[in-house]
Amino acid sequence: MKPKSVDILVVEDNPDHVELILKALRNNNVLNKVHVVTSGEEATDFLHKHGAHVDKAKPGLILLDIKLPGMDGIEFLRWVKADPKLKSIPVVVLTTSGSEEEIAESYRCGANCYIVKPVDFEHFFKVIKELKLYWMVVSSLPK
Amino acid sequence: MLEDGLGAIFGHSPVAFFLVDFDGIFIDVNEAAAKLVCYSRKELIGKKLAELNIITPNQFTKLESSIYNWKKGQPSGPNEYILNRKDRSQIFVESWSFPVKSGDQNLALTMIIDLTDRVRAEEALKKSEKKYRTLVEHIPQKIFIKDRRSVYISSNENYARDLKLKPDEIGGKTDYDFYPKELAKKYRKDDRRIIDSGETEEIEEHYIQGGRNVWVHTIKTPLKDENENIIGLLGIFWDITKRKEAEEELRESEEKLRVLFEQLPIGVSLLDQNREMIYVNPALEKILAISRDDLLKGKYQNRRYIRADGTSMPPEEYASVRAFQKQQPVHDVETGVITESGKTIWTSVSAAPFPVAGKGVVITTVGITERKQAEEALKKSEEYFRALTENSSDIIIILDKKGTITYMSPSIERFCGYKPEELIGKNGFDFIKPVDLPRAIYDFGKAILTKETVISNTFRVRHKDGSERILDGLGKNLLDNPAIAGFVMNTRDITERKRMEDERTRMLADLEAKNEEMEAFVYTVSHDLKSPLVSLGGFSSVLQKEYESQLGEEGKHYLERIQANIAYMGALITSLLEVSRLGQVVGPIKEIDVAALLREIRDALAIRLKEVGAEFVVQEPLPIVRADRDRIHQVFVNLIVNAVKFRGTERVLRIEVGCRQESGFYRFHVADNGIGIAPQYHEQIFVPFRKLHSEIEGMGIGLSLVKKIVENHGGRVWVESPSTSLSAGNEGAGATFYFTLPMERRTNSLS
Repeated sequence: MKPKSVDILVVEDNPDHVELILKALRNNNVLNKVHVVTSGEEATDFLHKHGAHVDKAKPGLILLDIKLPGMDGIEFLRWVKADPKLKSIPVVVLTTSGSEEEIAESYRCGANCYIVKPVDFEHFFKVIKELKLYWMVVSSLPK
Repeated sequence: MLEDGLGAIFGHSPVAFFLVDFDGIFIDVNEAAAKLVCYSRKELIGKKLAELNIITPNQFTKLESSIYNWKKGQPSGPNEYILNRKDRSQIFVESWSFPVKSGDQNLALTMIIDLTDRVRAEEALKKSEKKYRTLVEHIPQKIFIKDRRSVYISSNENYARDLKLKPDEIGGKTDYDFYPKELAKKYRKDDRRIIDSGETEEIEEHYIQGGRNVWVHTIKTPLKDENENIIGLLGIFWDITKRKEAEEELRESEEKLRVLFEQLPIGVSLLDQNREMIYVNPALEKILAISRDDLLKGKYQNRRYIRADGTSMPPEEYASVRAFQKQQPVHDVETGVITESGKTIWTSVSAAPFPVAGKGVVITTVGITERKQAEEALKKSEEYFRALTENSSDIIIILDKKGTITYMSPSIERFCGYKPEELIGKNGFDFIKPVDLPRAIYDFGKAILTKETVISNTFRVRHKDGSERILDGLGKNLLDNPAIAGFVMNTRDITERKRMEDERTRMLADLEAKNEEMEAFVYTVSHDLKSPLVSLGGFSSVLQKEYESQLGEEGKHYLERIQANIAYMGALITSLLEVSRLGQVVGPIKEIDVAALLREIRDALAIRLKEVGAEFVVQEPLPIVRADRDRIHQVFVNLIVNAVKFRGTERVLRIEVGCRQESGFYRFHVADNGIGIAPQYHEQIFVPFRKLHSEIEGMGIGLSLVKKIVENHGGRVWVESPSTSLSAGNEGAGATFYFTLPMERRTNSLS
């Protein structure tokens, strides 16, 4: 299946993690345009096409780190899913912890997938691969 | 002349002759006449009768009538005169007289005959007879005379009247004529006896008067003639019915009194004026534990007498002595009697003067030993309870129905600074902190109105120094109980306790907060730590993949080491996160079928178990417990995985899982026959990150997790090594881990 040609918005404040994410995407032939914002607020600006983002297209996928400075991930998630124009965008939540409450909370707030950032690079890539191919179906479901 | 003449004829006659003229002058008298009137002849002759007062003027009429007769030439007489003699004595005489002529003198010759004795006797008889007759007629007694054959001869008017006869009609009748046969027989029998014996008898007997049966007292006397022969009997009797009735009444009354005294449970005794006991009733014998004989003989005087307070009582204080001396009644003197055997009998003695046997004293004695014993017991009991309430560290308060303090125990001072007397009379509600007042008043009012037995309340009061004390009280409505007649509160000062409780609660909250803080900290840190690890892992992986060819063997090795450590660190952090997370809310509590859970685990670990060739035995029955399923799952997995890890190489691994009920808990065990654990490490192994065998894989947190989970559920975990719980035939060192879960789900104080 050919990947859809959607823009991907990555909301992640850790530059190392950003690098790894981008690498993973490239290695897996994910050629979509990737936009990176480093905070929840910036993400909202992006989606609302404010400021510098005035000409940006609506992304087809959001990769969201749950732990963000300022407006935190869950808050942003809620915000997105509350906006009628934005709630249809699939959101994949990324985080280092696998806490059940977080997973449950994320799903409650409308996340489409939840992926625990693994320490292991392969795993990481595997996850992204899956995402690319089955991002709608395969995910870390809440137990 | 006449002398010759009279003297010749009459001179020596024993009969007295007087010759008088018609004027009453003695012309001549003979010797006998002179002697009769005790004068000499000379003294009489020529004297006037009247002059000499030989006849008293009231008899002159008789003389004059005689003289009248003389003048007519007729005799006179017989006339009776009383003559006064010269010696003033009097004589009765009969006088005969006739006129005579002597020369030309008209004279009268008078013959005087002395009647004195005869008259006197007659008179006496008459008098006596009159007296007698009067007596007989007028005395109330009845008199009769019977002959020897008991035939009535005569009776007095009184008796005759009873018989409805005249006295002269009674002659010839017998008792059969008047009385019933039996009574008549009796009378006649008595008559016979008396006549035969010749003795006077006094008889009390029946008599019929006017149809009524009455009692009479009869004296029958035999009558004798001049030769002492008994010719009949004289009877005299009178009615004694009233007296007899009175006697009967008295006797009956005396009988009753006697019975009364004999039956009275109160001791009664009489002392005469010499303090001799003359009467004692049976009750007194019993009360004083001494026989009647001994009492009457005065043997009680050897006993000691004491006052109510136990000191010796001197005789002047005895009730009987005081009554005697004051001649007034003395009431209720409490007297103790110490008997011969040393026992003390308590009595209450009253005495009063009693006019018997001179100045006697009547004494009533009431035995009060039992009462005194009861009083003593009551006093002791009261003292005991008083001591209890006084010394109890509880404060005991009694209120009336308005809440006024009527009693306050001394311990109030210790807790609230007030002396009891400062509070009595004040209203208890005045001291309660206003905010607690509504509830206190409500509870009090409710207890008073509905007579609810016990109310329980905590309230704050004001200490005398102004500070606040907290009291916890139990109150009981005893208004209707006559011994208390009040509302009793049993209060405890719980200020300290509350303070300590509050302190403890605060400390716990503090601790909890700190714990939470710490856990939150650990959580955050772990999270934060994970982040760079992700990066490390990611980049080293890239390095490994994309620059493999440029790494030499050494380079690859170093990289591998880097990655291994990154993995390890990741695991550490994950464990830390787990451990920290566990302190927070325990997951959902559900009913867990442990048997099913273990089946799941067995299936999950099946491959591993087969790999090591282990025997896994689940001992049924297993209970249903209420717990966090995932956590309990974790506990079992950890313990079983440990058993696999530490199995040793000497024997085939055998793992047994089972359960036993023990005083409110389920005690599970996971036993193995592996390498076991030396006793000195039995505690350490539960400490996080402590590994005993560094060469065996693992974080060293498995057991600390188990401990945390089990303790969060309210249970305990411990180890026994060597195993004693494995079934026979598999003796080995091994270790058995026990953990308990409460049968009733109890939450940890922190949740």
